[in-house]
Amino acid sequence: MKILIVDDNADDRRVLRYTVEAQGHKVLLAEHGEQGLAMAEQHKPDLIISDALMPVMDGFRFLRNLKQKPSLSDIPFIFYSAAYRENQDVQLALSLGAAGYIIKPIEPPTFWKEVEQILANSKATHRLVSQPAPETSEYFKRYSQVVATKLEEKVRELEWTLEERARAEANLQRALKEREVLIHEIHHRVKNNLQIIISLMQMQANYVTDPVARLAFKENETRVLSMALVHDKLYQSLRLNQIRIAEYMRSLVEELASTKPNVSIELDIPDLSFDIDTAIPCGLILNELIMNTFRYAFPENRSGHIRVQLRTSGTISNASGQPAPIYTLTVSDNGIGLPGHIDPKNSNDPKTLGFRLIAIFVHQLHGTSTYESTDANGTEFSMTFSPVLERAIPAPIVVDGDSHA
Amino acid sequence: MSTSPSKGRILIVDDEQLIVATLEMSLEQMGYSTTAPASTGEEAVKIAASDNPDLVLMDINLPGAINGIDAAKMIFSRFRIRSIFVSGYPHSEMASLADGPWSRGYITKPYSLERLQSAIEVALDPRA
Repeated sequence: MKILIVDDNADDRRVLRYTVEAQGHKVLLAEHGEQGLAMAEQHKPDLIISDALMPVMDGFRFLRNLKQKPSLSDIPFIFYSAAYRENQDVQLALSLGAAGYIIKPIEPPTFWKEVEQILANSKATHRLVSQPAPETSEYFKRYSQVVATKLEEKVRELEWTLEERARAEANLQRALKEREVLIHEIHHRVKNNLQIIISLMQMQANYVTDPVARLAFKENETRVLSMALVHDKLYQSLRLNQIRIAEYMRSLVEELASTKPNVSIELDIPDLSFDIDTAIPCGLILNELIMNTFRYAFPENRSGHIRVQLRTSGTISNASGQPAPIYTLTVSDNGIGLPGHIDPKNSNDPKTLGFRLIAIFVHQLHGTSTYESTDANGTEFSMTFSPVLERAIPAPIVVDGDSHA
Repeated sequence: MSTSPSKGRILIVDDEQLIVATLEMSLEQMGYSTTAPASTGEEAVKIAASDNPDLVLMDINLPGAINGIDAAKMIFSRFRIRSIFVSGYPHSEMASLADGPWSRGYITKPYSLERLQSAIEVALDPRA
């Protein structure tokens, strides 16, 4: 047989074609009723299998047009549709002279059995020759009813999809909002706890009379404050693990500068973002350097100047082969230089705790550092480092009730 | 309560008792006296009414129905006493709610005693 398949869906056309060809028949393909009509006129197929819902010309109009052409009206016509499957749809199809109606989708072997069954029935009842086309007015009435019902159904589907989408969007927004509130709450609690640590130190400092011990408490308070500042900046940052280093260092320096008004501090820092693993050691290093400079370079109420500079000084290929920037942090002053008994490299001297901490944080940044005397008799600290590699955070293990691992 | 002349009497509002105790100690060393502390907004309004402090150090996140900002507004509208907010929330986030005639400053936690002292000095400066 020569069979014309009409369907606007390419996948459906392909499956139908294989099914029909597998039965040893020749296949003609069309994408909608208008094309199907032209091909039917040209090739006079022995059977037409058509979808119902199609653009340009749907299956019902296609069938009605066929039946109005004497040369084509005898060709058996089978609907194969997923969209129209209500009783009124099937009734309209049969009243227009369809030999049968198969509801999509159906397995290929079953499909072909259905086709054979329909053809056998229609021959037996002579339906394809005896069935008269309905009156035009009756046809339009039933046709518009079928199409309108389908349209309503599609609109309902669309409305439901839109509602579903709006619901999903609202849920997503709510989840995001909750996450944001939670993160802010955590930052708030961290800062509150840091205030409690500071309060503990202030309280304890009040119980010691030794000025060296009191100073030690004060210095630790400043260290905690410089770490707390990271949380302040992270909290305000859009990316939760990145902070703008210039802003962070400026706040840090402002906080310290208020304790030594006769020393001016100049900052020359580009607007770069550092991750917290890099920013915290950088902040602590800067904190120690400035505290040391205040103490040694500008004793009593000597006035002076400190300059803090951050520069990109090159690139390096990191462990994953990506180019990573190399930074140089320089802190220089025009003070009186380090006293002779202070050696920044002798980290066992208790007077050099600040220098020891700097060495620890430089090491943590995989950096190198130098101290040099400047022409102005001051000191210049310089550190070269590259941002710390991102962490490979293990995924949390979900333990189910039965597991004893 | 101290009998020596005080630079001003301050009401501390915070639900964290260690912070309250440290503040009481530090303020005394700075030369200020304190009223009984409050740990909720309701309590703060009550103590402001009975003790008539010169200034309030007000935490924002407080237990109970009244937060620190609302308590500060109530204390200002009823008794014309103003507050310095002391909070873990950054000022940028709270500015639109916290700033107003009831406020004499905003300090974020954690803070140094120097910062606290300068904020109080500014707040109590009669020239300001």
